[in-house]
Amino acid sequence: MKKQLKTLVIAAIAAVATACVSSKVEQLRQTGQTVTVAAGESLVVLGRRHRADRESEESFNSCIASSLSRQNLPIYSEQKFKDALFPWLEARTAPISSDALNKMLDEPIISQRIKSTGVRFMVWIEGETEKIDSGGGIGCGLSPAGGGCFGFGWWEKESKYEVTIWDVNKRTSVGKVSVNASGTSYMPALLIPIPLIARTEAAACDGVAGQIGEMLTPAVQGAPWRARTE
Amino acid sequence: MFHYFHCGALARRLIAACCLGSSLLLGACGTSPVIPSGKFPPPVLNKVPLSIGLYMDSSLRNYVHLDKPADSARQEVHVGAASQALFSEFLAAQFHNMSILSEAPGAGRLPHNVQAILQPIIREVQIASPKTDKDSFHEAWIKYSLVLMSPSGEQITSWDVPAYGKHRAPDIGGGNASLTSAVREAMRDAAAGMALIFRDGEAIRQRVAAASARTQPAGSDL
Repeated sequence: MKKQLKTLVIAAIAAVATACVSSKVEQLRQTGQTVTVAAGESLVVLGRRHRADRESEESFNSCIASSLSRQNLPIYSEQKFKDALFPWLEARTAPISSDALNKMLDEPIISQRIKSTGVRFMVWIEGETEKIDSGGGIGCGLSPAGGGCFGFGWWEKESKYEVTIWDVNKRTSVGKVSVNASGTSYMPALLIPIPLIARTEAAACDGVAGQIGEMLTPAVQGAPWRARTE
Repeated sequence: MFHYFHCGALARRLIAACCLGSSLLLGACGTSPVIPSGKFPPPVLNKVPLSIGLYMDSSLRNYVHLDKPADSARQEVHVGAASQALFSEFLAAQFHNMSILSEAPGAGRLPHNVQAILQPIIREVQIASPKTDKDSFHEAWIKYSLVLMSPSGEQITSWDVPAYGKHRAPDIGGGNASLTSAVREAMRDAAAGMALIFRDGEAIRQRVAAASARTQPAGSDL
């Protein structure tokens, strides 16, 4: 009984333990005012893919979309939006500046298609989470009498993202949010490995979504919106 | 007696290494081929007022890329069928009228309204998969050419359409879904490249008109 309790306590510690993350979030508003997302309007969260060596993770993009949805901001599905505007949001055709956005919106066939989706705000995400250092080692052993692991491992991750919000109706930038979150995860192993994870991506997501929520507010407060699929 | 095995610092690496070992063992029996879907969203394009014939020969329709990296299993990527669907759907949306030609340009009768013929060609395909802990993406490169010909089969011009796609590989497993997505991304990129080529519809119209003027008797219109 005592042994089972001990195992449970170790498992619970492992499940809840997290290592520290330090994050820095910066916000730049173009107008200095909060913009209201009117009824029938929505946002789309899009990952930038024009660089060959890096791309924001799908998990990060969907974390942002889910967080904004919980703030009652209506979210349009990224894939549906890209398909609706095919091939103008592919890596080589997607606008990377507000001038390029203007040029794209000058095409009536494209602006009409965007209008038909109800999307007013494009939230562009650029950046990624990467492991910048690691060390230590863990050895595991197994015998007829039992097994276990001994050692200590660590790794450091950094999440760097820059988010730009464009208003398609006004053809202007609403603002920018940049975040830099870093933290070191540890994994001591005394019989069983106990991971102490620094969740840098989650911290960056929370920081960015919070700032976007301050820039854009829903017209009607109510139940969280779900991602539109049509 | 203890049997020790030492891995890297992370447990995730340990799991990944075990899964990689299993997949390599399974890979010896052969991997399933990569067959990208031939369904593409309808493109948003301004139609160019031209009647085009599209000819795709069997080397394009049946193109299969075989890759055998030194340290991993043989990979078979079926590029032809999806490319055929891509060009058919894209060019049908791009031009006012498009007919699929079953015979090589100059060899058979054409529908009477065909003003020019387009023939896509696959020049080269390359794929790359993550090999080290630092690599995150499956990548695909497809080098297409698009040859513009007169109705009699004489080449007017050609465009290179290089296409690139990448898709993040999962930490563990995933089969060939990531590589399939990378190949599809490359095909969508080819569509983006063609959209930029034909964005100025007047340029291709002028080329076709100039070629037509050279071959037709004076006084006749395009």
